[in-house]
Amino acid sequence: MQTILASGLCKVLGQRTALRNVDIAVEPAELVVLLGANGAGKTTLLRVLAGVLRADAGTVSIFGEGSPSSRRARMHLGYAPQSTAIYDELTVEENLAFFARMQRVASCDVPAAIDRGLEFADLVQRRSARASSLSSGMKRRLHVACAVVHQPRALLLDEPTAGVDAESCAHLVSSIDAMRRRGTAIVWSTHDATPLVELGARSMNLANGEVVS
Amino acid sequence: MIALVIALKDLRLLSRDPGAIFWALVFPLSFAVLFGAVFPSAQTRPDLEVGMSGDLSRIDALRRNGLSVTPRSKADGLANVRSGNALAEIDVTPAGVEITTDPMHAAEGGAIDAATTRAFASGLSGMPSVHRVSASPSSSPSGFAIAFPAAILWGLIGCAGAFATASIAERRAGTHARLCAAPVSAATLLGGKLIACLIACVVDSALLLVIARVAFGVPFEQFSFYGLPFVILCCAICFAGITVFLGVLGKSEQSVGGAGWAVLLLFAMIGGAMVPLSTMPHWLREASSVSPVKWGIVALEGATFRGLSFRELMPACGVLLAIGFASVAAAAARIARTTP
Repeated sequence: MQTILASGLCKVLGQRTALRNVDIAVEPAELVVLLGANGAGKTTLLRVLAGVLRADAGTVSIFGEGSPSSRRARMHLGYAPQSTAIYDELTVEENLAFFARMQRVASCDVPAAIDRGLEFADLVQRRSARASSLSSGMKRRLHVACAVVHQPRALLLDEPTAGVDAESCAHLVSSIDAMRRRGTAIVWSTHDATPLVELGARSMNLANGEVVS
Repeated sequence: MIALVIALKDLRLLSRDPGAIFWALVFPLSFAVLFGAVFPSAQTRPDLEVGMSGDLSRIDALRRNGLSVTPRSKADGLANVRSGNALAEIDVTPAGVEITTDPMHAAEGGAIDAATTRAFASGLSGMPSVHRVSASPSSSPSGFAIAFPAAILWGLIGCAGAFATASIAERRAGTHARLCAAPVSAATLLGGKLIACLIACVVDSALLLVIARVAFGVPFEQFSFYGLPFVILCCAICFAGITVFLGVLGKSEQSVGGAGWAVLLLFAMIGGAMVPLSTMPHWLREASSVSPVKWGIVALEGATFRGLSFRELMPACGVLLAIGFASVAAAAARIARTTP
């Protein structure tokens, strides 16, 4: 059974058609790379899959349970939006703890989730630092770590390596690939698929809201 | 439980934001200190508005002597004076004339006393006895006692502005989108914000009251044990409601920072947080009823130096609660409309 299955997705944003009859299916342990120019519809597609945006037409099913808005689907879904969505005035540890609690990680399991997140982001040494004091690459790693702190079965990443240096990028790619090998289905939106080629990722090209290849 | 986690996060963010701390605490305190020092304990008022009950035969004589007289029952007149809506109540009985004055306006009390004496002396063979009593337990509140209710309202406005701006910043930064994708309902997200703002408003008000008592000697001993906490809670509910409404209404920090603050400042201006309500002309005091700041000040003054009973505080508190709940309902309706 596909982890993520969507068909016939359409979405109009203002005067612009952001998605036009888009189908996507992602198997467990599969990495799908969304490629396309700015405005191609990558972010809109991820927002619809994450349940943050409602499609005008079409259906989305996560884990075969229907809507991504359902609580059960959301508990196993990780979403890292395009902007660096962390709280600058919280520490690294507090950010991870907060998003773990939001993903319904039990209080007693939060310390372990924080440790996992710190390992994932390679920020063990900076656990008590305010996020505002981190470099942009570190912030980006923390941003993605907050999306995986609850060990999701499906992960939606919107340009997670944007503005990240080569070393941080390699670390992120290897951490996310480790999750994929453990069975997580991943949809990764990017302009540059070079770092993902070796991982055997399946590419999906979008242009003007349509899947072109 | 999750709402409390959200509230805790918001309070932590607030406590680490120097700008928010300034507007919520330092600015109101500076306001109270400056205005408290500038205001004498008695203020001047443009019109000498008084009520009159009992024998009304000398009402024209009182008006000729410069008083703006409205005939009322004694009970209504006393309630008006106690709530600050009139300077004095003149009750004329065969036994004499009793003038009940607002202790906040000692100078006007003297003028009303003199005008009444003149009005009753002219054209009468025998001068009735005229004596003056205070409408409130506090004989003459200090400038600080008068300034601190307005300062507390400034603190609440500061909290409301800070939380509303933070809500918009969350949407811009993407953390709101991340929370929307988490297994957390929109009601829980709204509840978390509401709890955080409520706690911040209560703590801010309580802190300012403690400073008023400890550092400026504003006396609270004579006030209702339940009245003051109840009023603070009502004010907090009102401004927490306004905060979540502003937070869901604006689309950018600029719109909330601009339009939101403009609305709050307008409320403050006509509501008596800049210039005391008691010094405003009659028409402006009537117009100020649209401002939650006015009802907050009326309730806080009532629960502090005016010494109003719980029942007398209810109209102002009722308006504050109504505004708070209506704002939360409006915010919830908007979220329900915009959330997938």
